[in-house]
Amino acid sequence: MTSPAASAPRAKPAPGTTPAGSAGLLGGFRLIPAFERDPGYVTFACTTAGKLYLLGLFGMGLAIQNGARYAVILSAILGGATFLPQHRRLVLTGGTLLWLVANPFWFDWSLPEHVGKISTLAGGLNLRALYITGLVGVFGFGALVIGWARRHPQSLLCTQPVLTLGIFYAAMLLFASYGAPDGARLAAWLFLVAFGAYFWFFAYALSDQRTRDGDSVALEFGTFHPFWGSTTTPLPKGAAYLRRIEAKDAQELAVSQWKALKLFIWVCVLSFCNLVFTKLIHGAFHIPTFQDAFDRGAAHAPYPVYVCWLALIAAFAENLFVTSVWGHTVIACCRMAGFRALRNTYRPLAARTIAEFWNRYYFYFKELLVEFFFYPTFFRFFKGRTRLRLAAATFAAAGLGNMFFHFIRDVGYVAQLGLWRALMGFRVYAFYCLVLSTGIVISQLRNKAPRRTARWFRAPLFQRLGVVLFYCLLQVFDVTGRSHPISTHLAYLLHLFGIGR
Amino acid sequence: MDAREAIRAFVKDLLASKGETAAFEDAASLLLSGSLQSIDAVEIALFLEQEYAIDFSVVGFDEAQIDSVDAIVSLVEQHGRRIS
Repeated sequence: MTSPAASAPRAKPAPGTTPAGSAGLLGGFRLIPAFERDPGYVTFACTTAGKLYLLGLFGMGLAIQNGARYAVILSAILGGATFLPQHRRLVLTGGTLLWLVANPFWFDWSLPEHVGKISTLAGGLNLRALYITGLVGVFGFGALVIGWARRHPQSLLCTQPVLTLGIFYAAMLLFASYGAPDGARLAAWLFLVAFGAYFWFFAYALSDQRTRDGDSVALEFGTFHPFWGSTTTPLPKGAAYLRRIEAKDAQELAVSQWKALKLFIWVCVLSFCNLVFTKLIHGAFHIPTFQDAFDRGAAHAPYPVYVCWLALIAAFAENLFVTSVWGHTVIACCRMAGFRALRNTYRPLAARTIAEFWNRYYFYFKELLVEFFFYPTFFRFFKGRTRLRLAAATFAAAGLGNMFFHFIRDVGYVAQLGLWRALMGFRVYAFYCLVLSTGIVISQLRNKAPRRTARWFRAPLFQRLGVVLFYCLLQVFDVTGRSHPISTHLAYLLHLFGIGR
Repeated sequence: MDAREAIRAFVKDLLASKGETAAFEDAASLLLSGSLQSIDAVEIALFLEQEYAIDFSVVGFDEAQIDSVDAIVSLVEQHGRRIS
């Protein structure tokens, strides 16, 4: 059945513009025109000249923003994805491999600083070569595991990938920390660091093997820290998602590429704003960075309360700029390659609830936690008690999953401090996760409650300010380093309200 | 009201609660397009559990199964039964 006057749900408005259908104060003005909605532009982008034009503009932007080497490699891969659409996924694999060869040390290689504590053998070895061996070992292991999973789609490895990978990871960590002899310990650590970096890529790949159309090992590897970039959080998710969002024809590719170019123009605008903001705040107004203000507080020589507040708010704004610029660049490249991914950050300051902000700020990290922690908890436990299962699933995702993600991301601390001290030092971030989860749960449950008459303090502006205040204050605990105990962070929080010291 | 109509009405209400009041096709993507979010996927899943006794802990949950009215109807036809 199709409704009369059928159309897709309304598209999200572009950033920096007013929503479609609401002219607002700016009378429908768009900072960046909606090229992708103009049939003339779309038709032009379907031609060879149009494709070259878009690739050229995009490449120039990349060169200005990120440097010539970056732009040349990326443009070559994007050209392949544009002109060989039938082999786009293979181009992705090839491009990702090329990118890995060009940047093998993309993840946390803090281990070299602590390697002397791990093994007495380390001093006489070429560590760089050893780390690459670790990387190759992880990919070899991955090929075996994914290959096995393809033949056993109903196995626990595919149905519960994070549980099984997590148990394996924990066993390896215990072995590396306590049980292994010298040489094996070094090998185990090299494997652990590389495996930790690719943990969530493996989780998506194994999860994909449950489906009938799951990708081969080679295609799955193309999504492992793809050439367009990501952190240890896969952007945009895994192979199953890429199959769904891949442009199916020349028109879809053209629309995707125009959107990529628009997003990249927005990146340039935001980068400029960030530059001006940073110069003004820290240069002209001499407001310290949040880290500086916190360190002064920890050293019992805090700045005045109003300076600490300004530093906190400035850090919040800078985080928004940095996350947006980085995420938009990645997604713009992904769209240019013909994958119609949603943005990673989408108008976070428009969020009226804590849960909504979390969804808008770092979308693909939230999606990872939802997929691997929220849904499995929600559909398995406390059935029939909607509020309780919602709360439990949220704590599993924003709390437990969030902690687990950051613990394995920063596993170098275990090498540096030992497992027990690294765990104990993680209390600050654990507290952060607890408060974040509680905030999101309350926000979700309030959203489900029947609406009462709006009062002045519930007006959108005050709701938004409340959300910003919550996340500003939460920054005090958003620390995965192990430099200060939680009491120092709590004391700093109290200082912001003029209490103590 | 048949299953398709009931599902369409539910999705329409869900979209309206997000301020999305434009007409939409039954094949239109709801989640992949960004019109609905994960928390809305939970709402759809709860609706299907309550109205059609679908147990996602048995059939498995994937957002692609509920990404459009057509996909939801197909899921109900495969695994659901009307409760009331």
